[in-house]
Amino acid sequence: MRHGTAPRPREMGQVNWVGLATLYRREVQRFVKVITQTVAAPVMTTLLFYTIFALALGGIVRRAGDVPFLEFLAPGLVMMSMVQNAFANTSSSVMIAKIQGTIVDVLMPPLSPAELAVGYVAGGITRGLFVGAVALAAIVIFVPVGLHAPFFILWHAVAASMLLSLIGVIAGIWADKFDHVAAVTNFVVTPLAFLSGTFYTIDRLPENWQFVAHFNPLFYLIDGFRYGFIGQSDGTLMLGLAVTAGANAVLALVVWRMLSTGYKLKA
Amino acid sequence: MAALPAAAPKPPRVFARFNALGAASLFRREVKRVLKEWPETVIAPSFSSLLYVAVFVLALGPERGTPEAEALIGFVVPGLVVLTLILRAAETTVFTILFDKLEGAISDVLMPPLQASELTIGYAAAGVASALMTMAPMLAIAILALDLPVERPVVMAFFSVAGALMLALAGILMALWADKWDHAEAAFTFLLLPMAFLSGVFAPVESLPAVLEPIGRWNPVAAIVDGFRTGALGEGARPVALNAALLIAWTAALGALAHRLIARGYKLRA
Repeated sequence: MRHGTAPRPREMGQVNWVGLATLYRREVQRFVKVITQTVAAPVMTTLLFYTIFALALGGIVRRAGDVPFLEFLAPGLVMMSMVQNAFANTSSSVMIAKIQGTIVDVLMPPLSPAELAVGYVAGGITRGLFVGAVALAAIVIFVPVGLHAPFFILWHAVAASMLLSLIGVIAGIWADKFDHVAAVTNFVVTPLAFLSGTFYTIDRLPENWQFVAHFNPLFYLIDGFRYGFIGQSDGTLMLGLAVTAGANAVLALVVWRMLSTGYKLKA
Repeated sequence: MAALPAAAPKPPRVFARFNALGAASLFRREVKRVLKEWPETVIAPSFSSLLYVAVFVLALGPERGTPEAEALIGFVVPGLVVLTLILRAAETTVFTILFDKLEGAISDVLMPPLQASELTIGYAAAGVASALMTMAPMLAIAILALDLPVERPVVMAFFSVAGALMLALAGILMALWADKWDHAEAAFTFLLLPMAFLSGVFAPVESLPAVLEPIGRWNPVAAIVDGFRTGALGEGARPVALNAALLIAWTAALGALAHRLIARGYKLRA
């Protein structure tokens, strides 16, 4: 009679690719399962926003800079839907798992802090890009939108989704209850998105506000993203690339540090 | 040793036709639930509405001060005030009833001696109270800081209360029908939100594309928005009587339906 050999511990290289891919897949499946809520609903909201702002403001504000207002508005609204959904994906995932106690499912497996961060954030980026792409496709049906610099579109789409995914992870870890995340959404993410040039060129702001606007990373994200479509920008594009990369790097470090120390996650 | 005299058994409580104490208790519980979460339920909606105002003012930029722009702001502000009321009224009843249903806590209101009418009135009244509380800060800011006129206070008050009542009843229906949160969210996003946004909150209904115009004109929320705006500005797109009649008819229909479904125990009792 032959005895099976005892299973040996699994060999892992520097990176636990299987674990990382599994976490990512779970994060994506989480939102795909409720796609009406996570994709269709935000796209619907974006279209509604587009309709009402176009109707209400379109008559008076005919042009923003050198482009028609309607063309100016479209990329801004797409960006808004991306950032809100990237944030919603990671913040809800981490917070719900924490509150329901299922966070051990990701803390117990052999996943390093970096792998956890990448898995969560990649899930958030996927949702952001997905919602953004569908919203854009829906808007293009009604208003032709140009294509000027695809690199800027892609860079800012990814950078924005990543930035808000990282903020989402931080908010999810920090929050002790649902209300806390709702408060961050209502009082931080939404105002930043609304007031960062989605609806107007920055030279329409009073001078002091123009200065303040330059400290909002979302301003650069929306501005650079829009430049990719209409070829017109409010800020300095190169500075924008640096700011978005820098903000992402800093927040990634914060997230990695939080996950390493187990802040509010491990007793 | 003399036996202690037995306490006389308490007679069962006598109810009148209407268990007012029960309905009032339900109302009080629902209002407390809302107030407990005041940053989300009272502050956040006003804050969002102010964000919209800010966006409009900033987007107008150099055009600010022109008669066109002034007219737009004057039009949008009352719309946004009543929008906070509309969304909050429905949200209040959807949230509490569905939450209790899904958590199994709905028996707490089904077991006590409350009839369908008392349940409907208790929930709907709490929805109205919650919506009015949410609208209050936004209304105050609009009047004090944004120069919102109140030309016909009675009309404004009527459309606030009746409008909140209609949407609180609609919220009850959504919560009864929904089997999970997704359903309620879907009803909100794909039914209520388009109705509210296209009802002349931000732009006159006439400016809608031809396909959307009938929706904007004849859906019940439009009557609330136009009626409320009439109360503020003194005149609206339609006569007050027509708006009031539409609103009363819808409210009565939704109220009757909600009462009927609760009486039948639709999706509430096995």
